[in-house]
Amino acid sequence: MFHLSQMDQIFLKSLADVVRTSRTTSQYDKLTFTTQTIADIKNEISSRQESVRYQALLKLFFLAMEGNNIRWAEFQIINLMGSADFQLKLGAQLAAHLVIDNQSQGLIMVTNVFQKEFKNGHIECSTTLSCLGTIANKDLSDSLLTHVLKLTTNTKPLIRKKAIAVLSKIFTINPLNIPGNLEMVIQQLQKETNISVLACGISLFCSVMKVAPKLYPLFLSIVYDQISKQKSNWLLIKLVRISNKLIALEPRFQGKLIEHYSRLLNQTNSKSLQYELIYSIMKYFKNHSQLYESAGDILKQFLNHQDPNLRCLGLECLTHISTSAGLMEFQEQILESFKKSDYFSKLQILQLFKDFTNQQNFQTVIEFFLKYSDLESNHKIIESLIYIITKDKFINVDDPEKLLLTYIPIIAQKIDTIDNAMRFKEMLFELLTRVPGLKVYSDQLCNQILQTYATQSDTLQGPTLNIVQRHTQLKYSLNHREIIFKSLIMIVGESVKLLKLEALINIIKFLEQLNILNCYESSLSDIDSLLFKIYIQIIKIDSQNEIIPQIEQLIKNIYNKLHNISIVKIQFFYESLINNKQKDKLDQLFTLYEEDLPPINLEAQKLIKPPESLNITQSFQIDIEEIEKIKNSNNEQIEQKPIVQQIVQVESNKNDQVDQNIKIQKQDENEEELKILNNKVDSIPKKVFTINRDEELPPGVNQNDINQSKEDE
Amino acid sequence: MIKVFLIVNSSGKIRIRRFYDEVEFARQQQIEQKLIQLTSKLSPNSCNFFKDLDGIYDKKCKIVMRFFGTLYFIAVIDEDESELGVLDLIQNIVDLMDKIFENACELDVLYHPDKMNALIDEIIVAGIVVETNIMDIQEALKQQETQIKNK
Repeated sequence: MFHLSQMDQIFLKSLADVVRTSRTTSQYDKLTFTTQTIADIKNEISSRQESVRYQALLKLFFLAMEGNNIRWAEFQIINLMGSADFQLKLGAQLAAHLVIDNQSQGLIMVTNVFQKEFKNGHIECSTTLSCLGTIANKDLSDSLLTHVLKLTTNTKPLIRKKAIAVLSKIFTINPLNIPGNLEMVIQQLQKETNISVLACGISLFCSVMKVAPKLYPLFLSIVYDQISKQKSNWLLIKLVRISNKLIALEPRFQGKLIEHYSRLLNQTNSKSLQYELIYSIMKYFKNHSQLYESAGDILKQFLNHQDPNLRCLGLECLTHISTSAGLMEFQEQILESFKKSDYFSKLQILQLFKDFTNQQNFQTVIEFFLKYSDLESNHKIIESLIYIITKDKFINVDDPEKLLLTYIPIIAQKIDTIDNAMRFKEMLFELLTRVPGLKVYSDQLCNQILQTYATQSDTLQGPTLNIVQRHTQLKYSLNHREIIFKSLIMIVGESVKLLKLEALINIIKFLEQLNILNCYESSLSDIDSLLFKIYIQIIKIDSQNEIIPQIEQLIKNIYNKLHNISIVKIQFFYESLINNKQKDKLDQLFTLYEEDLPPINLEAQKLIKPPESLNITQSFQIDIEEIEKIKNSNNEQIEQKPIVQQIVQVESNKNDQVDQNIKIQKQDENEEELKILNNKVDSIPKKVFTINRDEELPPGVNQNDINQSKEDE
Repeated sequence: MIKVFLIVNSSGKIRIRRFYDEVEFARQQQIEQKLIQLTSKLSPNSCNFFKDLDGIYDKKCKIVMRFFGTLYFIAVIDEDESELGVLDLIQNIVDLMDKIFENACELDVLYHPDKMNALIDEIIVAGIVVETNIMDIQEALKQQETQIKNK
């Protein structure tokens, strides 16, 4: 410690000087200024003069406010906490949380300082308790527990309430301190009359119930006692909140509260207390119709209120209506309010619909949110919609075809974040796995989504996902569109055997567009493998070699456009097309593609034994069988229509000899019959897809075996 | 219980910070940055509280935010605290600042950090709101000032 000379004192900068200088300093000189200030503070905080040290402390506050790290001053501040001067002590206690956290080494020194302070007057006690409430850790709490407990019986309510507040933290940090001590505190609170102290006591009970919920019987009588006689809204709010926890643990407590809740609901005008009551009633008092109805009336007021906070709270209450049918009453109102709501209320409404959408309102919900998504909440809306669609293995979806062809393309166009793109990809893969028949639409889906991407300027925009490809160590970045592009390319590649020749040619022509190749540079290897799969499929279809030269030329065009961009290409495919080399390898691959795909290859399965019941010879090609079934059922429906028309025609021919009026009348009747039949048999056959919600099992493995093994475990 | 209490200016500088749970400094900084980013979503007609769905502090908590002048008052609360109660609390703090500093503004927080921190510590202790009566809080602060003068 040193004494500043008179000269030094003249040039001593106060907090006001530092603040003014900081605000007028340019950004480039800020670092120099801050370094100089820190050096000054380090000198001044060690001074003998209390006023100088106090100014240094205030400057430390300022540095912390400006975002500077002041943890180097930990020891000095703890030192000041033990000062004889109250102002210095208080300042240090107020600054303690800026330099001390639960892992600080200096906390050991604080114990003795605090023990001394607790023996001083009530003002020192009060400020010390406030400081302890912020910086307490396990060791400090254990050391000071007895002192704090003693302070709960202090004559001053200021000290009692702070001591109880600090006790709640001590009990939370170390629940082993609760037995024996909690009962003492409860006994004191039963005689307590000061509302602030009682409120702190209720908060203490809430904290204890988090770490030791089995102690709830200790609180029942005091909570009930206070609810029946209290008039302070602040305390009543806390009492109703803790009563919710107590009812959850002891349902019989609910019966005792009905009368008091009715009284409070009728008497109070305080919105905050009303909210607490209706929340509790909606959640726990559904069987009490009169009370429930009164709460429902007040809930409607909240939902229609001008104040957005009250509307938000009303929505919160709705989450506790148990059935979707109950919520449907409010659906229109909620959707209307969504249009006018702010960002946070929109999130809340989305959360509500995530929990309560079902098959009945699925279409309404999806269409509404797709229509009313705005820039700010778009990513959350898309996230929620994907959740609603995929929830419980697509439980809400009854028309997967409409989902794939109508809603999914719109969702894809609205995606603007990587997270949502990844979710979209997983949703698409899961849907096509559970409804393999939908793969016939993969080219249509691609066209709808990718054509929109191709027309817009599609340079890498927005945040990107950085990827390092394992086998090549190539580094590239993907944005959200490229993630979707890659997944669609992969789906088309997997569905190549199901697509018609025309569709395959259209895909190649689409990929030939230069802007696609430029924009999706990271996906060129995926494009390469897709071209290969399409080429193999076309060779299989076009046995007379009519179209293959055209296709080869298109693919050559694509590779020529790519000659400046390095890609990982399938070398022998490229060589066979461009340089007419390695055709034998291509032929080998053709035969491989023609073979049926077994579930496993024994050559590859050397380390892990396959299950005994697994049939290795059974083909894994379930997709084509599924599609064939659907095609056959559709063909039957198409054949019915011309037969009906023929029948009608024969009948009209027979009636040629009948009077013309009767003939006309009968023709009208036949037309009417035809119309009725047409309504039943559409010109475009309606395909009925069902979603497979069973777990994915390899062929030969029985669900019963799995259930048995689970039971054995 | 209040888990975090911050007073932030419109440039994102934190004037008052309190973490009432045991949180390391590194994590405190992360939480502060994410909460400051959220302030851009607050508008005059928007709701002042919302769930912490992104898990900035804890997904079970709620974030209450209110804007006065150039300062954002941010509180992260758990399920034991009333949202409207915390909004009233913030209003009380601002009223107290007006009484102590007369037409309070951000500069008062800069020039009197000791008084500002003492004010917060008289209202919230260990994450629990211990007093809401403005007169009682002013009385406690006056006693501290008297103690300082009587040294």
